[in-house]
Amino acid sequence: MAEALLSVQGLRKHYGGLAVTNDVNLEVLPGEIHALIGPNGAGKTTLIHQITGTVAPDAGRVVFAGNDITRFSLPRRVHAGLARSFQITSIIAGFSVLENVAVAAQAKSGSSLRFFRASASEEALNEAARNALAEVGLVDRAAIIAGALSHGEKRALEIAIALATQPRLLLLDEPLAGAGPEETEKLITLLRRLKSRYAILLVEHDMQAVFALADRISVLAEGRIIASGSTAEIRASAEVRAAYLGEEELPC
Amino acid sequence: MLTLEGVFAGYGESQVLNGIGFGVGAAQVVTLLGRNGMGKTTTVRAIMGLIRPSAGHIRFDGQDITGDPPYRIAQRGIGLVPEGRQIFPTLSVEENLVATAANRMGGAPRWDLPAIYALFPRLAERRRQSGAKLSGGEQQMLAIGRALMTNPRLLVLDEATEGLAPLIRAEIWQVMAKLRAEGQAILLIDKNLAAVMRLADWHVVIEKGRVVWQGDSAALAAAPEIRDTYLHV
Repeated sequence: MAEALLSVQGLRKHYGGLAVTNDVNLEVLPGEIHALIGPNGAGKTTLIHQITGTVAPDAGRVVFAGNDITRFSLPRRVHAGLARSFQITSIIAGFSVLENVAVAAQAKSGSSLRFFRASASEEALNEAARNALAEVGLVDRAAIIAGALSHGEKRALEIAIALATQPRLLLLDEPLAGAGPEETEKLITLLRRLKSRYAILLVEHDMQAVFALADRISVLAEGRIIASGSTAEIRASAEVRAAYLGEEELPC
Repeated sequence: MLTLEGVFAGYGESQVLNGIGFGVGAAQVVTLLGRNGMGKTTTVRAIMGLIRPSAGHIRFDGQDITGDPPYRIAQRGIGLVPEGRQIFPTLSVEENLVATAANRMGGAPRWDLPAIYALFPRLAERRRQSGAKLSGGEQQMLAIGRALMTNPRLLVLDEATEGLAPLIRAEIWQVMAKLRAEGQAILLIDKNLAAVMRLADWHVVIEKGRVVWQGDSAALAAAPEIRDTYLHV
């Protein structure tokens, strides 16, 4: 087994008496799509926030590419190569598609305050942005205003924004939410294409998409990972069954 | 009593309900089943007027209530027990119960304070305590009591047993069985399949904002593939 790119070790987070993250261990290997699923209130969002750095864990470690990043700030994590797909609200509707991505590329290159080299660096940033747009199939839409994109295109743009930071790991939080059937198909194709080049941690409710994409699935329930494995292993787990269908035996 | 026909709704450009349609008859207990993110709570929000459908119709007692404001829908006789209970934390138990109490059906109300305290003796013991100081199970009882105090013709419960200890959950199921025996119409969202199959007359399974299957408990028991495809992982 290859060495994990992301390794979450013994992570704990309590809110008052409630263990929202209860000794969570999770690994994402290079080139792997690892899906994180779980019923409502399982603690998926809190776990993601601890990986991205917006919430500090009470105990445990987050190791990325061999470095302990548990105490890294969010920007420092992005520099280390950890990118999160942002929700639609973070797209700047009045900027062009290209500009939206260029801003992310600029953040990565750290050139924000170098006014006098603006024109030269701008071309480099636009180039990086165009490359990211090409990866998600939006290069033809580069010049239009982001607000005019379809819902599915906006979701692809969010991924391009994440790619512009040249990540090694993509953290995708419900990338298919609200997408129609055709858009879902396109986004699944896109994610499959990205998979060989980026490790992906995927939080998604659409189980067909999860089954189509994931190499491994981990199930979070009440703050704990209750199962981790292939689709077949997850489906066969009694604990997963109880988490989704209730604890009682079914009458049949 | 309640019918939804081809209802479409969502948040901004994110489409959640994609033509959902089903009905709840008088004195019927109907469940809305489906995994996370499939549109169960959004359906409840559309019924209660908390989100305006972009297409389709919602009728209650033959009246088109699509797009009506929430207070009007509550006045017509739909009582909601919302997900996460949403009780008033700074009001006492008793204040929570009387704050929105109503009796619009005429005659003596079925539900008043003594009736609620008989149904949930624990709320009577805690009547002066503030909502914030109740346990999760007590808050849930209070949320159900508060909805009943509006003497609703249809009671809508969104995840009323979520996050509760097994004993408390069993108590809530007993209360629902009592309500059912009295002929209370109920629309219920709950993942505990064995319990809802004992309680409900009819099950509506949804996926991506559309109904993909419906039938009674016997039919659901005989259709493990429905369970495995739409409810289990």
